[in-house]
Amino acid sequence: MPEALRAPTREGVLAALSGVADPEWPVSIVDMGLVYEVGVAEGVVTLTLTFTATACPCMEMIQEDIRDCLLRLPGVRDVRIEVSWDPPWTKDRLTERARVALRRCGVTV
Amino acid sequence: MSTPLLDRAAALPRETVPPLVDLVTALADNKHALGLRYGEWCSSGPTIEAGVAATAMAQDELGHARVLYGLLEELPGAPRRSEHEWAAGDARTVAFVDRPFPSWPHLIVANLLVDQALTLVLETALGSRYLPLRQRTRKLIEEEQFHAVHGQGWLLQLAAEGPRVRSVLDAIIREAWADAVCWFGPDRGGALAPLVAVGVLREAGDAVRRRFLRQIGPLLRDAGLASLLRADGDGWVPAEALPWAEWDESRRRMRRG
Repeated sequence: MPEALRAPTREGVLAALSGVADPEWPVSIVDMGLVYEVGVAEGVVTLTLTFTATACPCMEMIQEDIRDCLLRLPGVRDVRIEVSWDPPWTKDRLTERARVALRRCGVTV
Repeated sequence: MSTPLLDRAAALPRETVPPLVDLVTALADNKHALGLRYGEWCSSGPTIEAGVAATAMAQDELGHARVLYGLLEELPGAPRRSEHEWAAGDARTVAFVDRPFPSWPHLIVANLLVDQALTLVLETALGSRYLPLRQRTRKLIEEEQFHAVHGQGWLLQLAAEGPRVRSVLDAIIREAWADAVCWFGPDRGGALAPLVAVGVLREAGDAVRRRFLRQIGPLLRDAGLASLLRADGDGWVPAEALPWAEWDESRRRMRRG
């Protein structure tokens, strides 16, 4: 099957998002725990996303990066992002990989 | 049987929309104004650390305004707002935050009275039946915890400098007092009562005011600044009757301001 016709999967989307970095730290948005939900249907990816703070200055930049990344995946024709503040993000959402990377930057987690 | 959630603006009972629009607009505009006012002290606080704290709080408040303005977008009849553009002539703010703070103690009083009054109102929406409001509230309250600690610590520190500074602080508290203490609404909430009746807010009016005074009463007493309130049983009450004749319910501020 030609690659362009292959249906995107949730796992494929998450793998791609693992390449989208938080602009402030050398950690992906997945390892930061910013991705709450991923849905894929008929070429449309729906994401529920949070941010570490309501005043995060990078919200729009991160959403742009996500769209740029996912629209390059075969079979993805649209990306819909919903921002959620419930539950609030906490450090508990960091993966071990994120913790290692942040400690290397001098952040206590 | 639990009461069903109201998951979108169209599900709200009609009579609750205007007071909800007024409340959210006033919450967001006051937070926007606090963000601007705190931000004016980013590089001119009494210490470097104070300026950094003002910067962090300014950023939080502007973030909260952005989140709350998002709530207005789906409410019919709500004014158009953006965190990037100040609503100048139409802003629903209390008079105390209308203009730049002339001194650092003004910032601390705003931090302690205005900022915390808004937070207590937000707390009444923690379990709101109106889902879009409920989903935003917890995050905002979590981010406010540090603002409360900041205001309390600085008030005690300033008050300890002596009677002259306490006299200045007392005068500044009087400027902000009526707007802050009336913000919860009269009696059972006044214009906010329909929101309580349908579960959009848990409570309003006297119940929230009592909680606010219980929070700030001991602090003001310890700082030697409790001239505007008095202990009453296990709580605190205003020492003088509140000026309800001057209170504008829809704009949530004193008319004289």
